[in-house]
Order: sequence, then C-alpha cells, then structure tokens
Amino acid sequence: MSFFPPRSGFRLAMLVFLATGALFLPPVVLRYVLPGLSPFLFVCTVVATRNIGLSALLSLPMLAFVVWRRRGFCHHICPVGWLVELCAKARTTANCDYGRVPLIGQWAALLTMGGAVATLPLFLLLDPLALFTGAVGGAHVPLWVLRLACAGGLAVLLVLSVAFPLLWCKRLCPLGAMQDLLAELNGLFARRLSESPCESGEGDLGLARRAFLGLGGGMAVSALAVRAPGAAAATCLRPPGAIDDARFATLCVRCGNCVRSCPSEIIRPDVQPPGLAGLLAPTLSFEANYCLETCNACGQNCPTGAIAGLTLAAKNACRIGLARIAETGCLLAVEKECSACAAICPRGAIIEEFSAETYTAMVRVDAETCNGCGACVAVCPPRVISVVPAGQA
Amino acid sequence: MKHLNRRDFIRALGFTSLAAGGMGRVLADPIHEGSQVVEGITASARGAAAFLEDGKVIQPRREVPVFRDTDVLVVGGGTAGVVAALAARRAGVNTTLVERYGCFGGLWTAGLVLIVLCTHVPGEGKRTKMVQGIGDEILARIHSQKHGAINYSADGPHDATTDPEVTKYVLARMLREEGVDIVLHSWVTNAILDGDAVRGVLFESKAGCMAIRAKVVIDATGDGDVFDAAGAESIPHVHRIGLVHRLGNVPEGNSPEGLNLGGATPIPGVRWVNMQGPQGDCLDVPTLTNCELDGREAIWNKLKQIQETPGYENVFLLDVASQLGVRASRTLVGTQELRLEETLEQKAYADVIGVGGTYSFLKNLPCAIPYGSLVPVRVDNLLASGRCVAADNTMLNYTRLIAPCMLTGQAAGAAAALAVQENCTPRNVDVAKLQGLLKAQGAYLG
Repeated sequence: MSFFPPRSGFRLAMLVFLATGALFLPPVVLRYVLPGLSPFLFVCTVVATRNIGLSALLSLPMLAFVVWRRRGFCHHICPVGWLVELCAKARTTANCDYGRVPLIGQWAALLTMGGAVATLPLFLLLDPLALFTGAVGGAHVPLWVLRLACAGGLAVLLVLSVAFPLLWCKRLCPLGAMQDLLAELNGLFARRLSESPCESGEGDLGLARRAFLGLGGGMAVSALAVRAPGAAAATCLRPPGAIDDARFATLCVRCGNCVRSCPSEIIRPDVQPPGLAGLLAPTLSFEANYCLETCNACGQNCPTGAIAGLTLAAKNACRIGLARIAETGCLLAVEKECSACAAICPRGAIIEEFSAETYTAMVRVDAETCNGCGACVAVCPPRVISVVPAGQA
Repeated sequence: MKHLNRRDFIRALGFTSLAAGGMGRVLADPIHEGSQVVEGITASARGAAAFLEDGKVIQPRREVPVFRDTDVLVVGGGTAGVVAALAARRAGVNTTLVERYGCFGGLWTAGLVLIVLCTHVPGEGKRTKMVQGIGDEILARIHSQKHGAINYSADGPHDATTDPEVTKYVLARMLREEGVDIVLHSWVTNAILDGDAVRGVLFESKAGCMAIRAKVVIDATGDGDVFDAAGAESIPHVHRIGLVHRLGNVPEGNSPEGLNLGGATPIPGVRWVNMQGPQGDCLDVPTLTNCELDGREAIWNKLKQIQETPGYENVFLLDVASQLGVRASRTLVGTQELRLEETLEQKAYADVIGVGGTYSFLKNLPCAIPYGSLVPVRVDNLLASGRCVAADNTMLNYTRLIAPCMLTGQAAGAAAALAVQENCTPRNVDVAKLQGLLKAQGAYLG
C-alpha cells in the first residue's frame, strides 16, 4: 500500500495548480478559481450578497458534482483534504470512529447558510480553501501576518489530523459538512419519490431538526447582529466597494487576495481591529501610497463579495473615508510654501481658502468630492492629513 | 524788472536757498547739491504725445529708436534671467540683460524669498546635490561672503537661505565680470515680430519707448510677457499672491504657539516671513494693487501681535519686499510639458537639460526637465525660462522655485547662444551639442 492516499495524483495537481496560480497567474484567476472551487463559499456568498458572478460557471457544475457524488469535492479536489488524509496515513492504527463527536461542521455550515439568508454568513472563514489560499498565496510584504495566521491555522489543523485522523474532514469542516447535508437531502428526496413516506427514518428527522435549528438560529443571530445599533457604521478603513462593516468581518474569508492584488500595497490585514471580529480583515494604510484612481483590483479579486467587484468608474465613486487635515501643523497655515495635498488630489477635493480677516490661506477638504483615496496623506510634508472612516467622519 | 531766463532763474534760486541755509561757503561754480543744469544729455524716445480721436486715446505711428543690437537678449533679471545671461555670455555671444527694477534676483532678492528650495535629493544619511553648474556657482559665491548664506553645503540636511543684499551684489558682480550688457530700469512691454519669428522687444523707460533687436530672445519675465506678446500660446493661472517681509531683533529659540516668526536668515536676529496671500490674477493691475496694500496692512497687524507677546516687544519690521510674491501667471505651451506623473515615474527625457532636487509632492525623487518645456510650439527665436516654462498645474509649483529657475535659465542661455553660433532657431538646436555645452558649464544632467 502506498504512503499516499488514493486519488493523490489529481489533488496534488490541484494543489500545485493553486499554489502556482497564486504565485504566477494574474491575480484575477484566483478570483474565479477559489470561489468556483468551494461550493460552500459559493452558496453562502451568493445568498449573502444577493449577487451571482461569473464564477458561477465553475461553481454550478461543482455544486451538481457534489450533489451527485457525496464528498466528491473532498475526495477529488480539496487540497486540505489531501493533506489531512496524508496525516491520517501516518497513523494507520488510530481509531477513526467519531460517531460520538457532534456534527460541528454541519452546525457551522447550517448556521453560516442561515446567517447568509440574513446577509451575515457567520462562519464563512472556516472554509478550508480560504485558509489554504491565505497560507500559500503569493508572497506579499504586508501579507506576512495573514500568511502566518493562515499557515498557523493550517498547521493546527494538520496537527489535529495527526492526533485525530480525519476528524477535521468528518466532523469539523463546514465545506465537507455541507456536502453531507446536500447528499442527505438528495437521499431524502430520492426516498420520498420512490418509497412510501412512513419509511423516512430517524436520520431524516435529525436532519430536519438540525436544518431548522441551524438555519433558523443562524438567520436570527445574523438578523440581530446586522440590525444592532451602529453595527453598519464603518470604524475601520476598508477597501473601496467594501460591504458595510456589520457584514464585512464575516463575509471576508481572510484569503488575502485583495492584499495581494493591490498595486499600491495599501491594503493590509488588520492586526489591531476595534473588535475581535475584524481581526486580520483588510484595512487600509496610506502611509506610503494611496488608492489609485486607475485600479479596481481588490474588488475584482475578492472571492466573496465582501469587496464588491466594481467597474473602475463605480469604484472611484465609492467613498473609502474622508480626508481630515489637522487644525495645527499644516504648513500653509504658517505661511510655508506648500500646496502638496491640493496639487496631488486626483479629484480636486482639497480647496484653498483665504481668510481676509487673518490674511492667511488654509486648505479645506470638500466632503462632497473627497472619496478618501488617501493621495494627500503621504504627500503632506508634516503628515497632518489622515483619512477617517466614513462612520467617524 | 529784468526778465530772467530759465537758467538764470534757477541760478538765482540756488543762491537764495544757500543764503537762507546760512552756509558760509562761497562756491566758484553755481552748481549746488550735485545738481547740474544741462541740455540734451538724453535724447527722448517718447515720440509725440497721444491724442484723442472720437474720444479714444490714439498713439501716433512712429519709428521706434533702436537702443541696442545684440545676439542674445534676456528679458528679466530674476534668477532665471541672470543665469541665462551668464550662460549665454560664457558660451561666447553678445548678451544683453534687461531688468525692470534696479537690482538682480527678482523674487529671490526683491521678493525676499530667501530659501533656495529643490537643490538636493535625500540619500542614504546624506543628501545629494542635484543643482550644479552656474546656479551652484552663484550660491557658492554668495556663501563666500560674510553673512551671505546659511545651510549652504554639498550634502547638509537643510536648504540654503541667502541674504538678499549679498545676492544682489554677487549677481551684479558676476554679470559685469562676464561682460553682459546690462540694461536696468527698463520694462519690456512688447515683442518685435517678423512672421512667427521674434526679432527683439520694445521696452518702456524714463526715456520713453525704445527697441532692442536680438537674434534670440529669452523670456525670463516670470509672467511670459514676451512670449505672450509674440503670440505664443500659454496657459493662464491664478495662484496665491503674497508679500514677504523680514523681522529684526527676533530673540533666539522656538517661537511661541500661534506666532509665525518665519525662517532664519544669514543675519543674526533677522528672520524672513513668507506670506501665502489670496489667490488672484497676477496680471491684473487692481489685483496687484490690492495685494500690495492689503498685504502690507496684514504684515503690520501681525507685527502688532508679535510685539504684544512677552519677550518679543522689541521685534521690528526690517523691510517688506519691494516685489510682490507672484507665484504663477502664464505658463508656456511648449513642445513638451513637465508633468507630475512623468516626473513621478522618472521618465527619461532624451532632451534633458537639467535635473533638480526634490520637492514636497515629488516623493523624494529628483526632477528632470526637458528642453521642450522651454520651446514655444510655433514662435521662433524665443525661449522661455524660469517660472513661465511649460509645466502642468502641479509642476509649476516646482518650476517656479529658485533652483529650478537656475536650471531652466542656464539651459535657455546656453541654447540661445548655440542657436546664434549655429545660425539656427532655438527649436533646431542640436540637443546633443546643447547637453555637451551645459555639461561643460558644470550642469548635472542625470
């Protein structure tokens, strides 16, 4: 018997494709490959964002495939599943009967899908593909924290898989669990069509109960969370086109695609979020560069719609935040020769104003025109300009 | 009563005033207080007076006397004009420099903008000097004078600040040493055109309007007065118009919060205070008048505030700039335009004529300036230099500064001289030869 689990060749190829794709292919490829590959991500994000993208061309056949072949994704495609099986091979003697372990993965999947109905897919980031992409995705300086976290998560998962072979796949993974649910549903329908109703067993009742509680609970929690006062107000700077903050932290799967795709390198994983929910979600730093008016890559590369895939014009119309010029420190206010911010502003949103009373010139941000692109931040010699999130402006 | 003619009358007046003054000295010659009655030392070039025709003021048609014939004529004795004149003269052609006021340096001296920005780029630990050639030679000579300059160095962290009087003196000395034909107190008002070719200029003076004929004219007026008169296309701008002043007797140390005591100068206790001022059309006479009057009043108001601050009671107003701080008016539409995005991506110009240091919006990058930004699209025998060269609305905030003016000045002067020597128009000057000449004159081209 080979050391490698069955169907290794195909999944190894898949893994190599994903890794090389992340490294060498244009980032936009990932946008379609990653959500297309994970039916869990696809279903939840389509439901949560009420928006279906081109990736459906890949996702819908995949969905049909996993309905037709139970756990077809896990056995044939999932690179994490392959790694988990590889770990299991190291422990051939271990007991793999987890009959008494609760179906955590199914609960997570149901809660997430229920939440998605109320636009808040609760545990979306447990998707193994997101974890995998975050860990192995292309090298990028601001991304190291995220990569470390994802690699750490992956490592924990693998250690777990050595200690309890296949526990992740069988009981924890929401992507796997969703396939079980689909298969059960499929079987249920098949029986309903062919047999008399009285033959529906205990398992079906369990499924119904889980589905009712999971979906209902997810919906209720999400609906409450989304409607919580102040939840939607942006407290962090998010990439342009980002969904409101109440949804962002859950819809974002921390795959790092936006960070990787940003040519200005202004998107970085938030290591100091205002709330724990936003940990490692993308936030913006204008210290060295700004959101280019010629770029809409982050949204185009977001697999979940946490950042909407907007056209360039629509992206430029998005408000990231609002530039704020500190009351003291502006060079112009002390009659020094500077108009760097006004000169650099791509939208002409920084306006010079002259006070006849004090006979001084000042710069003012026009809140109507400014979209918070941050061009003025790095160019300000005394660094007195910051961009504040729209919720704080 | 004996009829006194004009001369007798003045003589009598002189004696009377002497007697009234109680001076015991008896003068052999009736010439007093340095004044002398003479006849015909100045041929008036004013021409016949204007007249009214149907209520309109009409200037009579006339032949304008030619004051000079020269190879290269530089209009404007500011930073760019002086460097242009020196570069042209050193290249070996007859050079005339016309200035409307009585001193050289323009806004650098009469405008009291004393800091020389954009000479360096930051490097590893130390800064690297970009502006070399004639501009740097001028700075070095200013620095060699006592209280001439502070912070002047090859790699120091700060931009040099110069003393305006030392600068005026050094600039005049250098022009005279090179044998530049200097014409002061003459305000160039129009161009002499021959089709699309400029053949010289008209200027107004105490002696009236006269002409200077030249093979090549360099517009260093700052406002592009010559290229505009010659019909070259330009872009109008409004910008802040300030009025700079200097304070004396300023105590050492950090100034209190809210008190703007400006920047240090080479003279201890003297500081120069910049002013932003209101945005306005710098070619509009009422605007300029109001800026002058309002600016002066603002300076006195601010001085009062300073003098009311404990410890600063003895600060006094040393002087207010005699030249209004005009930042931008016209920029030339050149065969090339200096653009922010091209500078930020460090575009390499085949016709680079100078590389300047960095400035606030240039992200610590140097700035190469192409020859095309000095060359008008259509008009011949004319080059722009200084504040009015072709630059976009952001980059004009770079080209208007003193160090970039030195670069465009030297390039315009050298190119004009080459055009004269090669008997071609400035637009057809061999760029390789021009770059060779500039390098021979010490310029750094990257």
